Amino acid sequence: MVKEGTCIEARNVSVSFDGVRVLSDACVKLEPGRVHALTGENGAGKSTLAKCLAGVYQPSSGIILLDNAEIGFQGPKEAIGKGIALIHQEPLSFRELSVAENVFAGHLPKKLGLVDWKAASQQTTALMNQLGISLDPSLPVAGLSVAQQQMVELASALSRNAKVWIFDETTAPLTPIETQELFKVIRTLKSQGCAIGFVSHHLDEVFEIADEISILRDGRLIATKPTNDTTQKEVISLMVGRELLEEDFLSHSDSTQVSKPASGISVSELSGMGYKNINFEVKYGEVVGFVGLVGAGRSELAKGLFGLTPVKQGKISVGGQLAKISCPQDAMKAGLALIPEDRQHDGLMVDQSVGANASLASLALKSGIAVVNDQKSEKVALTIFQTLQLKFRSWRQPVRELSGGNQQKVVLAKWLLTQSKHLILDEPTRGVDVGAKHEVHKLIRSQANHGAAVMMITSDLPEALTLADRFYVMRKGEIVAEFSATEATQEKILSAASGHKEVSS
Amino acid sequence: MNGVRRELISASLIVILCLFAWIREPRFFEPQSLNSILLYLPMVAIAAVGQLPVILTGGIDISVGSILGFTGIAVGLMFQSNSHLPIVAAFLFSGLAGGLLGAVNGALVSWGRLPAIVVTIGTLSAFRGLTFLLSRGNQVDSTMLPSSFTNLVQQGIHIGSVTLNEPLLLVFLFAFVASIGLGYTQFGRNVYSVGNNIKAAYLRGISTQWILFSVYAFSGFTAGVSGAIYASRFGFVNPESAGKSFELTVIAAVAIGGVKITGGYGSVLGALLGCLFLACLNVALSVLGINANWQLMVYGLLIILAVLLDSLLRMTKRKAAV
Repeated sequence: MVKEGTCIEARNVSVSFDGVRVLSDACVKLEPGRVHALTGENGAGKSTLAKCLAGVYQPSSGIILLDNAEIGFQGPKEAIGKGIALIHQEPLSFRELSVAENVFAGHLPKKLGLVDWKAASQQTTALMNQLGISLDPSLPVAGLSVAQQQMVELASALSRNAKVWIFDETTAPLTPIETQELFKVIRTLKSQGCAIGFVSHHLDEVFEIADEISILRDGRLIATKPTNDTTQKEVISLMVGRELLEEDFLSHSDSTQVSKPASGISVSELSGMGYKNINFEVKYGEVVGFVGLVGAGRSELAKGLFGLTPVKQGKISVGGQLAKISCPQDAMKAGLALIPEDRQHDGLMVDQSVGANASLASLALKSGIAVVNDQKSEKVALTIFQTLQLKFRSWRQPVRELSGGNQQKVVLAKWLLTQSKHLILDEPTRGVDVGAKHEVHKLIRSQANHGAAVMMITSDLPEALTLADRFYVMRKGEIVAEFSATEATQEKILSAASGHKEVSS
Repeated sequence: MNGVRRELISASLIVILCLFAWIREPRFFEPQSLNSILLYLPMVAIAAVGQLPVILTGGIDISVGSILGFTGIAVGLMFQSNSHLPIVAAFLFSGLAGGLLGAVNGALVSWGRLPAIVVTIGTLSAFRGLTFLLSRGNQVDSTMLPSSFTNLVQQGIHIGSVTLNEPLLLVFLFAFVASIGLGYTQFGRNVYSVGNNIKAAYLRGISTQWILFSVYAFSGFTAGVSGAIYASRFGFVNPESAGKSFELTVIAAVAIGGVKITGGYGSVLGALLGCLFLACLNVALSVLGINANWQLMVYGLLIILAVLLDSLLRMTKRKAAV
């Protein structure tokens, strides 16, 4: 079914929040049957621009044109009515409600003015088939994975017959395989004549899916280029505004350090909520990557180690000492530090200031009565923030005003300030832009070189391959394979993680 | 499926309570107890049906007791000025007056973007003050109310010595309308969406402010109808004591009925079962000769226990899912 094409355009759009200009004079046009990528570093304004197109934000100046006619969206409702769909990074789910109701939220099928639940369920099944997945429409959404919840959102946009689709960092929480599933859907939509906007700072993805690339930096549109006429290197230098150095300094730790006998974190026969029979060791000076598909039990393991969920059986040793961990305080006293996956909920006090958040973890470690020495902690934090290129106005600025990537940087800073020798990093660079990602990698590596034991959970395989000295692959709650940096390849890890082939290690 | 299970728990609590009361005091199963239960129900049940959508959106309406007091006085004054006023008109008037006060709550919560608990604690006091101003400190007594109005609770369908009183009809009417409204209309489903994730609801194009406004206005309307029932049942309305602590009873009923106190989950059937539980408890306490002063304490503890039970059930469910 070929739909009539619709195009949407932003012309000289500017947006300000509390007098701070986050987007100025941006122009972009999404055309039918084309995928147009918006890319840039965190805080560059790419999400803001996408949200203007979808009616979530109203530009303070400039205009939005739909099929070359000016249109003023008062809110998302009007934009949805015009066939514009915005797919968000974190799925917008109604957890207690069924899949069918999530799909048809706000426009349930009706018979004689009353909701026709049978039709809702049948149409949901049909839409799911169209997306190539099977999901019971009566299931509550609370039990679904992030990727499944995104499919529910896609089905919702399909049910509205959306003609313009804007994906706002939609691939960020997805594994590589799930990302490919999403790309299949995007290609189908494209062939049906939909106009597609794709917001991402993952250049591999951008180059794979996009026809045009618009690059933003510091709230300004820097350039729009056809994908065929440019290279990743050029796009990166346009995003960052300078050439990035090769990643040569991320050399793996030398063998003398690895052979050092002292074991930082070691675990034997550990079982708990979502993982079982786990044995592993992370030595001082080592970065060990934990890879696997989303839902393989990696984050669950991290939560168990940090005392957030109860451990059923097994032993945890930190620095050679047997640690009894039943709550996060125990874990912190044992010397562990966790950078959680869900920064919004687990890692930050979003209403508090940047300064307060950064000093929180190191404060908690001090025993007894300690006077908060603002000036001293600010000084230490400032150096870390500069290294991370954190964009913030002042110490008093609430964290909620920062962009997603900058929030992640505050979480990182918070734990780096504790100077812990045993780091558990759960997706440390999710949502962090290219330039800063590099800095985060350098920081992680330097922590290891200064003798820290680093356990790094990541779904970003290229990241794992450049950074880690060793790998554990997890599947269905168990460690199924171990690779050294020299043996590991993307293919080997993926096949072990998905269980396609038996892999001997 | 899940919903049925939660309401079964509320229903079994009622059975356990009744069995317990019956073993301690066999008089509990006499028709007179049943009559007391049926007499207790309408006032609480109608306001609970109104409180339900508010709690489903993740809010709370603490002002219902004062709305009940205000409308009770208003009905008395209406009859004083015109004793031939049709009874249906009195109920309608009382409901609309309550709806007007509820709309004030709704406007402050939705367009004013204020937390519901702050708004309705404020209006709990403000509406009580308004009640004093309206009544000039005088109470409405039976001489001001026509006997056709005060007889309502004795009238109805008699089965043996049990009376299905007329206000019970209103309970059925409200429960039916609310069940259809919440389960089978776009508006009702939007109420659940808002309670589950208000930001997502807004981004999906749902008019969240209109939903918030409406649920508080509806809660006020039901509290107003309860005000008329109060006047008719007791034959007098004291501006100070009418509806005092009523909000506690109503919120306890909804919580015991398995409605998630933070919003997004619950049903009309659950809320009604919660009311039935409180009605049985009320009668059991008096049949067992327990001092009425215990009642408030018991209600307070029940709210906490109900919410505790709910979170425990959710925890075991989550564990089972892992």
